[in-house]
Amino acid sequence: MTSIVEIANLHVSFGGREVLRGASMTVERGGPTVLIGRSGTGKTTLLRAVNRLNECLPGCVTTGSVRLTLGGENFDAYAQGVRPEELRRRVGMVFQTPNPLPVSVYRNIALPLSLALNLSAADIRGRAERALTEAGLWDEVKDRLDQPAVTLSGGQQQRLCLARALAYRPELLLLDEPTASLDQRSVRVVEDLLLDLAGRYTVLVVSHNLRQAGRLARRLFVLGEGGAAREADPAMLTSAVDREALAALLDEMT
Amino acid sequence: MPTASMNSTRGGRGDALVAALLFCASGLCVLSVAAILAFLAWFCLPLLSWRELSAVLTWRWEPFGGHFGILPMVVGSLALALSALLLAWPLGLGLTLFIHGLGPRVLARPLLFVVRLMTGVPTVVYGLVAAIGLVPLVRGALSGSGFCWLTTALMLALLALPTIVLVLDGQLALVAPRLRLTAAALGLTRAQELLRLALPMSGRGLRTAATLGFARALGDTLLPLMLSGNAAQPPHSLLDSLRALTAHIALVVATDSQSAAYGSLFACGLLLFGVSFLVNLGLRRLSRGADVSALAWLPPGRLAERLAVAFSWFAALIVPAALALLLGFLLLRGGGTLGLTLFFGDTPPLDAMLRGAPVFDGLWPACLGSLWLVGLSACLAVPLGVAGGIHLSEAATGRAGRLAVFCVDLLAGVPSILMGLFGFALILLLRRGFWPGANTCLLLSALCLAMLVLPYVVGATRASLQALPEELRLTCAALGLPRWRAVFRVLLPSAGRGVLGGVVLAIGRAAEDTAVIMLTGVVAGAGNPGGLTDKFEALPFSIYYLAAEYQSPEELNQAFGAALVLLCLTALLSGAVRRLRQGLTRRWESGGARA
Repeated sequence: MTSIVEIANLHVSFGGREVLRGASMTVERGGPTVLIGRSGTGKTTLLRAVNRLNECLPGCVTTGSVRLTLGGENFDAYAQGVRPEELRRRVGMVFQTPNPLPVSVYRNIALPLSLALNLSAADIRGRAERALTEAGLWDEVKDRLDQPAVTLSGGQQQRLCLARALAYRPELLLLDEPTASLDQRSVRVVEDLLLDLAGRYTVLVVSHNLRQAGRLARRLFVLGEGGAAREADPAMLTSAVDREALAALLDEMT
Repeated sequence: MPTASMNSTRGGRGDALVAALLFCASGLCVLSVAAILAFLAWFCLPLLSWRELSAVLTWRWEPFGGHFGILPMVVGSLALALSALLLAWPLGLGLTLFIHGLGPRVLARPLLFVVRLMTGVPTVVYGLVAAIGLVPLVRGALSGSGFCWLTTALMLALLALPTIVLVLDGQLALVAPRLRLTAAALGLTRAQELLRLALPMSGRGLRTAATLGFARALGDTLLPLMLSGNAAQPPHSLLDSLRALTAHIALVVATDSQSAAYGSLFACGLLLFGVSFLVNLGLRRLSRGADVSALAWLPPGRLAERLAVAFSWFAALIVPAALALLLGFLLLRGGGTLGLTLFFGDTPPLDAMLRGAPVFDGLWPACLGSLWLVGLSACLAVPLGVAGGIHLSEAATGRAGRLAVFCVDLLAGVPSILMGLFGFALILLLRRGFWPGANTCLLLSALCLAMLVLPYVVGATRASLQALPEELRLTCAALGLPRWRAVFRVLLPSAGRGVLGGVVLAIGRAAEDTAVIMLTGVVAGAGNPGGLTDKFEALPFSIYYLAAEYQSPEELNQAFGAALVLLCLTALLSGAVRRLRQGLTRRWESGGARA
């Protein structure tokens, strides 16, 4: 019983347009688990189904089952009694482009913590420092915590968003192409960080870059049209020949 | 012959002509602002001595005793505008937050529709309903005559509310979607997202809304005139009567025609102009300045959030309820009168319509007068406004361009009574000069109304042209279209929706305005409009006049009937042009596809 997310027969549509048609996937603890697929296959929608973020978009209808195992408790994420806010506090998410709030570096972590978790100032300070250290950002920003977050570089901003998610101490971390908008050097920093974090958190990463998937994946899912997920062997990503075969598989599934 | 066509002088000369014409149009906009200011200043000149000035800046207004102090009116105007703002701003904010997610999503669109509807309700209709419905309520529940600060402030708040809501809605629509997913992914509730993140980022919108709401309440003439009791004294309580600057101008012009009171009248005008100038300057600074820093003005904790949500529910209930009560009262009183008799009295309708038979106790002459008025002012304002808007968007640059834009914005913010005062001053000047027989008339009213609505057309044209993607311009240039042909054949049709939107606004505004025509030639009982230099009747003025001077319950019912007609007219107008607007866009797009 090591699975943390079990998705079965998931249908998601926006304004009548079906993006996912019966997607199924099981994510084990640990990871990183990488989800790859061509653009337009619904990777982001599948990821957002886990923390019920699709509901924030207009005209969204979700059916099917998403079961999570958090805090030793197995439950249906879409059940009546589950508050999406509560759920999202236990499942961290990092977006494709860095989305810092228009406040200082420190407030970016402190404000959500105080609003969502109602922590004391001392607790917040401790968590913020710990999270920034985990995200490998503490040494870079400890002297400029009061500066606006937008003054950080793109890679730093993305790690700040990662730290913001880590400060909640989630069991599961969702990352939606977290390096897509970063330069090559920042990409490597974030990738190393994710491998490091995978020891402590369950990490689920969406990517469309096969090389990146090869560096990260301990488990691999290939997503086809309509969200048909097929598990593949991550070893396929390490040799060029197998990568070709995988690319062919992606094309075939799209 | 490529070189010959490249140097085609005909095209160049045509371009120069078009450019010159457009320049003249936007120049006229600047000129009209200058003219208003010049007239006000010119007639204020006699006040420029210590003795005169100290006579005006006193607390006594007794024209027959030789006291022309305007300070009570200054206090009255400020008291009214500030108290209305104090009511309307929080309610508007609550309503906007409700629309953006504090309330159920299904109610958002209907509520926004109600707010848009409110922008179309003529002021005089509010005035009538309040004078007959609300005033007795206040009198009965509290004390005094009911014509007081409180009644007026309540109605002014209702008047300013849609302005505030629409500004805030625009601001939140800009800020909130960007925050939506971030806030949700962090496990924040919708209320936390709006109250703790979106609002602190919306300082600019909050201030802009307050400024515009204040200007709207300060600049209105009809509501203070009809509801405040008009006693020229500073009020001591909410139940005291008071007089606003705008109403003061209307009253003095109406009752007094040749006296030293005029000097102080124009001083009032200059003051109002000064305030709109300051407001405009303030708005400019708001839009230019750096984004207002995040201010956490809501106390922390869940309780504050719950209270805010409760208040937004309150606002979302009370505002539509107030509007429904007012409109319901109007329907109840006016609904029964609708019929041919309302329009034609005892005269056979066909005789009146075809042979011009005089109608004595019907609304027909007022309808005709309004039609003429709106038609004439639209003929003046629409071509000029569109041309001016094109010039400001496409050709005006540098300091001159900025000045012109500023003037148009200023003109949009000037209280309508000042346009009336301008027309009135024009006649005074003509009489003193080369045309002793000059008098207020239909043409003058149309001219002043055109000045009033001109900025709506200019602003809408400019804004919608500038909203077009830059690639469209580049595409036209790359296809070798001459500049002005690109503007008239491609850019203007693409912006057609926005331009027509401005035209609707302008027509609706011209149809409902009462303050301007009151000073420039409308009278009760003038009959069918005879010519451009005759006096005339108009629907909004008939409502105002009947509400103030009704002799019998039948006449009052007629006022309600007229109000209902005017309301339907403005509603139909905006509905019809909205349809047209959609049709036009479609036609242009399909035409583009065929070409």
